[in-house]
Amino acid sequence: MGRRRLATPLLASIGALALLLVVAAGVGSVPIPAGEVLAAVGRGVWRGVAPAGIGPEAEATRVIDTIVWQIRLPRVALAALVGAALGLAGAGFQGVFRNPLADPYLLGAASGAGFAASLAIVGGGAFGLGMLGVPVAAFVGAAATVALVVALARRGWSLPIVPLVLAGVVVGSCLAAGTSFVLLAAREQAAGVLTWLLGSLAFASWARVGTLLPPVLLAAAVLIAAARSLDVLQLGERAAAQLGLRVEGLKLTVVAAGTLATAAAVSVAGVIGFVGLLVPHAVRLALGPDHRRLVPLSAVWGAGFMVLADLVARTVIAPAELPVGVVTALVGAPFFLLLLRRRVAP
Amino acid sequence: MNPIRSIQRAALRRLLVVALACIGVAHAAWPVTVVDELARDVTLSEAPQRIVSLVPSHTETVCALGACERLVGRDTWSDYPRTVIALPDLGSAFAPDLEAIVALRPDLVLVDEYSGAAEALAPLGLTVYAGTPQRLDELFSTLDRLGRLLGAPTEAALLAGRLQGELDTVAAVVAGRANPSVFYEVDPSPYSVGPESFIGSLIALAGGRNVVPDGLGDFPLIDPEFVVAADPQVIVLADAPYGVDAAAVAARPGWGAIAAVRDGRVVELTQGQSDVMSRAGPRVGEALLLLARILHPGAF
Amino acid sequence: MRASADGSRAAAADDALLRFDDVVAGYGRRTVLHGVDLTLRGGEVVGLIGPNGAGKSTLIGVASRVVPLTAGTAWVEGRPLASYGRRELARRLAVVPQAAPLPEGFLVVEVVRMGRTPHVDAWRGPRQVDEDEVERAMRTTGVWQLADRPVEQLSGGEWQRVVLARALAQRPAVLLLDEPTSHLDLRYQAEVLMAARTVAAAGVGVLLVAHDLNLAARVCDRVMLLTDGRVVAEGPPARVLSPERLARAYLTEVDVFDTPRGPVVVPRV
Repeated sequence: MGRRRLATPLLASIGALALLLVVAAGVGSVPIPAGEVLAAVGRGVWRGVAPAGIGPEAEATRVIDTIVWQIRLPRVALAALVGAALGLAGAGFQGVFRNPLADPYLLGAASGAGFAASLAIVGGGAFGLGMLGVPVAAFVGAAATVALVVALARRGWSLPIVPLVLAGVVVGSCLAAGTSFVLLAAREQAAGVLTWLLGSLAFASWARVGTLLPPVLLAAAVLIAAARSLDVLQLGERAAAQLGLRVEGLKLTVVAAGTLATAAAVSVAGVIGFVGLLVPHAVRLALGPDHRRLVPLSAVWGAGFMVLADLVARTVIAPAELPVGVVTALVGAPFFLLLLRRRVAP
Repeated sequence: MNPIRSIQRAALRRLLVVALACIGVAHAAWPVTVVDELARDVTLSEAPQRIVSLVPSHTETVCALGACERLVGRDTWSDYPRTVIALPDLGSAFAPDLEAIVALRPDLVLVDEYSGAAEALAPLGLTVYAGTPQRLDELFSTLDRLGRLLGAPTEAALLAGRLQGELDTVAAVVAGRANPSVFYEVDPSPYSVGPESFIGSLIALAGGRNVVPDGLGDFPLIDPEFVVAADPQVIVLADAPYGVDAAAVAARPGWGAIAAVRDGRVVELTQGQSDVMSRAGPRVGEALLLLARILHPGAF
Repeated sequence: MRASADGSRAAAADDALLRFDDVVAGYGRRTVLHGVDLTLRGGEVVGLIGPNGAGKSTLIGVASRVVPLTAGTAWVEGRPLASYGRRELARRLAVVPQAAPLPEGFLVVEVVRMGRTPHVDAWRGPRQVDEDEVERAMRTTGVWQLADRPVEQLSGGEWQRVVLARALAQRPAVLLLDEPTSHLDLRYQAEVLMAARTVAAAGVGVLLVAHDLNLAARVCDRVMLLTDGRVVAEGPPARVLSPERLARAYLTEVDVFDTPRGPVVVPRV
């Protein structure tokens, strides 16, 4: 009675995601037959990415291996991880703010990362460092901004929601203005800053996947552990406290975990909008609001949505690419409306 | 000063430089290593035969060094010389088509230093040179480095000499003439160019006085009021291909009183001219001549 | 009355489940309760009455530790309230709030299960005993047949009973009800109040904040009349609900009719 199953939808979603990953790894601007892609994957798994010897045939194999292992797979994996991170963070933020319109960027993570990254891009250009410092700067910028917002909004040990959201909006606006100023002051790098701000997975690598994995796993573990408490929090903060929850600690923990995931995602892929808002919402509409399903499924659906959006971004106008953030918005908005309409219908 | 005498003297000086350069590099042997603008060592063990250029000015330079047929791919914006349009379009430097680049099996990829393309391409086992000239003097150092990488140091030295000669010639012709004040508009915001920028240097060489003062950066956003107060004698519209024309400029509040507008010296560049002006490459002489003709209509 | 402060050991030793000694509390600089004494024993239903703003909900907040004390002491089962952890307190004391936000999308049974939060181990999850308690609470409040309904499809009265079921699922020793019948029609008012009596009969101490003086008079063993943060009268309903006292507290003339089932209060209009 009333027991909603986690295993069935979770396994089905993971299965669908796996299928999507295979399809995404098989599609790219260089046409490679599916068999060749699978063979390349097999070769890589069998012996790691090793040189294939000499000769024109070996050379062709090497090119395919490089494309599959060094370009497509890291990109697909990065897209999945970024989507999972944003889905998780969105589920956490919507739960803690008890508002389905909350998203991972509500507390200024995006504007903080954007400002820090634009400084790093401009500074990196000026000092000949290129893009190397950008991910670190973006991560620090995002995390520091949310920390500042929390510090501004807190009253002793409690974290009232309305001042928190207001502080997020105010600090976010200030930093967005800062980014605009940097854009105006350094026109040569404006294209780079704008590309970053719109979000891009173009420069995916295994190194970035490796950097993103630990924070996303940690955030996932914390949020899944907090799922039952997030359910209780939906009764209101006072009622949750009367049921024995340490509400302030819960809010702080969830905001911290969500920010960790958001900052990590933003640091490697820029500001990709709509995923964190849309995905938990879609899961909630399809499967209900309980966080023990909502949190893990938001991660899986977020991964799938992101892989799909990136697939669209890199194929529709190939060889050029759409910014993936544009795709998430273009795909996301109508999907969102559809879900909302379906819900208001009887 | 007699312009012809001055040109002769400049040419002589160039010739000397070229001769020295030829002696210096004649025995350059493989492997060749140059340091790019990201401070990375770029080493080639033999002359590159499959070159990808993701920078329009580099595409022009490669062709000017006689290596056009060794190009196998280009970025979206590379369109000169016209033959390169037939090459595969590999996207923009900010979102290059990595797979297509790898599939072309290039032995040298030329990119800019700030888009992140170098950081993405180098781990794929490709040899990448990152760096673009932002200033006029960097044009010559870049030319030297590309020349060595392509195994064409002599051609690079000759090209450098020719370009310096062209610059000197134009400078000599405009020397001694009255220097008109200029406002160079990059876009209608309006963004302009600082005196230290590539275009700013060309304006000075062409005998113009940039109304934008030093210290605002290479591409500063300018207060329209400032332009009205500076009252430039010439306005160059590099944004004309995007729909800005002399009439639109005259219609801006207060701009009708600017000398350039009253005297009909608001010049609309074509897309091609605008590209020539903004690419620090082998067409620098053409760019300078274009500017000098705009600033001194009677001199040429 | 003032003697209770130095007799605190004695207070701890008595059989009161909930006890306030000279409690002062409020929000920031605004003091709402100005020295309230209260005793609630197992098996009794005590009514808390008084005009709007008298401090009834604040008192509930103090007892459930969501509103801090500024002076005085509160005791739960003979131990100072401050010595309880949040979970520990929630196993002893449950609250049915006045206006509970509707957790959209959740099913009735899921909301009632949340009442087991203080009993459920975070890692092991709920056990059979928890499910049994949930079922018992739902049957007591008559929401068992609504188990699989999303809460947003409930009527106001049904939702009120679900919230009561959630509080009962906590298996508390003390049950604080903040106007639990305000949205209910007569039948459900009766059911909720009967449920309160049933719970009390099982040994629970029930504190009932009541807007409706007549219902309070029917169901409560004792009533406390709270005015401006002070207890102005306490005792059996028939004694406390006098026309003069009520007129002073509510600032309007009232008629009180004695009936075989207790006093009936009607404002004089």
